[in-house]
Amino acid sequence: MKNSLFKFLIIIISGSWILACEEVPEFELDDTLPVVEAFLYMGDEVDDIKISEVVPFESSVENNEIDGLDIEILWKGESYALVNADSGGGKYYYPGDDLKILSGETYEISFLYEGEMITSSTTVPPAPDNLELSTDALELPQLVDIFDIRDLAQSGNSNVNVEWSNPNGDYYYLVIENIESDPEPIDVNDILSFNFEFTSVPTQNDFFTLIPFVHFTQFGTHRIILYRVNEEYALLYETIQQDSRDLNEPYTNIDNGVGIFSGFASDTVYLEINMQ
Amino acid sequence: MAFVLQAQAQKFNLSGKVVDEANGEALAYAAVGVKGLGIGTTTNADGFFTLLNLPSDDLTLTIQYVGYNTSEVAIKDVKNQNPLIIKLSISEQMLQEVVVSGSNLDNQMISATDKISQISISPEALNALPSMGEKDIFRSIQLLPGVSGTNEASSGLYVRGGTPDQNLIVFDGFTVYHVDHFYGFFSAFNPNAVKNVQLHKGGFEAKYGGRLSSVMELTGKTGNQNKFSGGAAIGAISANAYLEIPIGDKVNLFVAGRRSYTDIITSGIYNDIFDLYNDDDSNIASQASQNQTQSRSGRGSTQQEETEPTFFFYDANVKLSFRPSTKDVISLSYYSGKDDLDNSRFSSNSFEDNNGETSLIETDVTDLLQWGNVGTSLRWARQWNDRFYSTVVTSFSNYFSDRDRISDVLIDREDSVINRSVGTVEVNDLFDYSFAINNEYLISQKHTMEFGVQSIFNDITYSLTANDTLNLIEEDNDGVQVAAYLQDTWEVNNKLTLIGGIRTSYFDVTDKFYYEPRVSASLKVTPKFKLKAAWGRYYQFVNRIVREDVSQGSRDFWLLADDLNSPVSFSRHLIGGFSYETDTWLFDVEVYDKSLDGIVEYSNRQAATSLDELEDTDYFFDGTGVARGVEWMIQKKSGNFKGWASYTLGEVVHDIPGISDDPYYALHDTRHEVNLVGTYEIGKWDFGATWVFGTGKPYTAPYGEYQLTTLDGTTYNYISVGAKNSFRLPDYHRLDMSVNYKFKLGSTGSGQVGLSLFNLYDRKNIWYKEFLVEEEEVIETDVNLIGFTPNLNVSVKF
Repeated sequence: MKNSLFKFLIIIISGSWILACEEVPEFELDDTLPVVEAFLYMGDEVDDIKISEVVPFESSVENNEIDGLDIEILWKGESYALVNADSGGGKYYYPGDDLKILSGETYEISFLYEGEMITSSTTVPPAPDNLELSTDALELPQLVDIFDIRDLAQSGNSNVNVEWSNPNGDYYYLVIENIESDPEPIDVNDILSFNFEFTSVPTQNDFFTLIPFVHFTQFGTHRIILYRVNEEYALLYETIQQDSRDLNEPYTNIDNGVGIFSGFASDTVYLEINMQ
Repeated sequence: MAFVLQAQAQKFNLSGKVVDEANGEALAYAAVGVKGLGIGTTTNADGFFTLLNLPSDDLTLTIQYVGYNTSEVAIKDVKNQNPLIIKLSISEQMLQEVVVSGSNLDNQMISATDKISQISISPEALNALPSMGEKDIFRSIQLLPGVSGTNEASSGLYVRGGTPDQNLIVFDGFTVYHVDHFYGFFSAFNPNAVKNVQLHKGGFEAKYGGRLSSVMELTGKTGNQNKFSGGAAIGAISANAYLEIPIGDKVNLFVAGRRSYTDIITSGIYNDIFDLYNDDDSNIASQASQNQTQSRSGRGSTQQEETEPTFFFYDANVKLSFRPSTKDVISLSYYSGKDDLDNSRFSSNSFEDNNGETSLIETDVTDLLQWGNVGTSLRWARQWNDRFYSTVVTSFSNYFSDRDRISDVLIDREDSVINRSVGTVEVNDLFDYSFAINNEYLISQKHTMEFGVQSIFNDITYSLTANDTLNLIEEDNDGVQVAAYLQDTWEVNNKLTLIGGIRTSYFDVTDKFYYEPRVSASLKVTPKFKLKAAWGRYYQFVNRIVREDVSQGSRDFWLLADDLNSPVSFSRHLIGGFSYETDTWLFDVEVYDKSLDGIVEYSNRQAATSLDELEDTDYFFDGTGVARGVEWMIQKKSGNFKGWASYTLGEVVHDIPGISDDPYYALHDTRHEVNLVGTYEIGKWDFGATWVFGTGKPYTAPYGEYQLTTLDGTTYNYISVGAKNSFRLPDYHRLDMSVNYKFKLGSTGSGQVGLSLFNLYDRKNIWYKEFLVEEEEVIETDVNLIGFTPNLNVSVKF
């Protein structure tokens, strides 16, 4: 009788405990995580998607880009399958024109990687408001002497202000590109012979000052695109530096992965740089 | 002494006091039973006891006290025995090191202190166990089931998945917040200054509050009341001495102190033995010089290094006791202890990249740490009559911890030399001013009522400064807790005892009341077989926060709960079990389940989830937790060979969403833990051995790297840290052995020479890992615990 009671108690106690174990996911040393760098631009094609992976120290793999994934963008209940770029490099794009990137719309990205579903979503923010330039056109002489270039850049007389409304301190960034097919350099020596393009870091200001030879170097029409940045990208930017003591990783909005999936909305103005 | 025998319709009440025969010291929590009647009680903290409604004035009392000979006292002509003082003598054979409270050695009495999860320890009886030079109360407790024994680097008790801050440690009425000397190799308490220890592993009563996990109540020695006496001991690490000074018939003074001396005799036996039995890589400099230049394979290659700290500590106890009458005891107790630890080291590593270029990285780490406690209490206890007993305690306690850690790094490459200094300074200061009135009233033989009020004023500051200038945390908070409790112990019949109580606390910081109902039950199915259960709710208003530090090992600090950074934490205990006990053996099983809420972790590593959060620089994260497990213990209680074997199966899982998307094992999670403890006595010789095994503890580590390119074209490289606490240190195990020889000194003195062999097979147990990231290299350092260390100790007393 006593022995039976003992056995009964032991079984009850042990059994109840085992059944009650907490669910804690296993982590394997050679497990790796996908790194997502996926950006959607309002009104643009979907062609800025890159997938790579975290490489464990134990691994001898040199190339960390992941090709051959079946990546889908979900929008309004429809699925749009991305295509791996011919050049590989972990880059993907959407070949059709029916996937519209619109302000205020929410998009999801998903793909299967080593048995795990990697997902994220982003909402394209509203386009910037009241974007304008302090001047639409600027006349500059073509310069020869390096000191003239320096003086022009430092004088401030040829700066152009880009302004927009930002009452909430949102994050924006600018892209300035020369859209001429064969632009003439302001600097006769043509040190920068390619089509100039500059991308700013994200800013919470409501203006940006364009300075000759810093933000433009050529004559011709310049397209200035102002992107309103989502909170997720702003967070990534704010946490971009890793402290070697804390080993803090940057913000991610990728489930089961790291990196960022973010949408941007833009407005565009044009600046003419004319030769005097 | 107080002795009252009153006839109440053929019923009698009996009061008395249990004392040590040799020195007159009161024996707290001794079991007093009436032979053959199944009636019993325990003495209170001052040795008083009362038995109500006895059916006869002709009876025999059986008195048991851990570490003492069981005594039987026949009571016949009671009037002529007034006052009744029962004297117990220390067992020649030191019968038990540890006994579950209420265990019935002679199987002839039933103890009224049969409480679930409660353990009584006699510091006097710990001599036979192996030690690091001196017997140590907390290290011995770590050998019990449900208390983790693999935390060699902490005397703090991890009780049933709780953390040391969740234990209420009370020494003579004042709360002690940190119990470690030298990373826990010694506890903060000199065992020569402690008379009795009561450990409540869970389900504790309403009179205890402010902690989630357990209660440990230490009663300091009052000292010899009969004659001037004392003792001294010296080991390879520390020396201690104590004096017991009776001043007249009513006053006693007890003084004890100890100090480690390895900082003074740096080339002494400790270092010689230490170096002899540790490999040449026992310090980081020598290890670094042996490092082979490693070639990177394009990834972060790692080189492992090891380090050992140097230290000194001291503590002092003074207790002045005054007995103005047979009913009153007034005592003033003072304690002070401090640790000073230098963990500084230097390392040099060289790396060769794929182009054959060599980089030299030298790291000079200044790592200084001081911590300690100061506490004092003034206590008045009065046995008003045979039914009513009160204590009034006012106390002060201070815990301080200062840490200064700066790393100077030199990176010498073929084309450049870079010097960099990084580090943190961390200061934590906690003050506790308390006042408490506790009362015990025997309503009847079946009901004992306990009630009281307690208040604590806490003032806690904490600052963490990075690189000497950036204040990461600056906290300075104070708050008052006021609590009242009421509890009834109901002896329903000879088999069933129920204890029900309610504790209500008011915390002015949150301006809220907290209700803590608690119940426990004990059912003696047969004289040998007992079922037990407990349930209770517990709140805690000061929290020790774990500051996660992947690269340098996590640290902790105390903070007052404020419902902002650190919420008032909560725990619910549910415990059940049974025991089977014979004269020689005890088999005990308990299963516990604890849910936790408001557990807090601090981490700089976690990115914010919103910009608002980011601006708050709020790196405190709170969440919930679960701790559950089963403890088995079999103990041989008597004979030349004594000891126990225990196995604990447990898990501790925390779920803090800000730290980790998934639940994770807590830093102190240990799935399997085995303790084997044995002592053998033959003549004047004692032999002891302990073996501890525990599953390796979790840790977080960098495991890979990746890149991100921002829109402006800048590419950043990152070290990726694996899932929170997803790695496990190797399993911990350690064998300690000891041999002691006892001898006489003159007519009244005695002495003992002992040899302890710590970590006999020199297991390289890892305390924690450090990771230094330089130039995308990850240098991994195993900070090891102590290897094989023999220790000779000599003690004398008179």
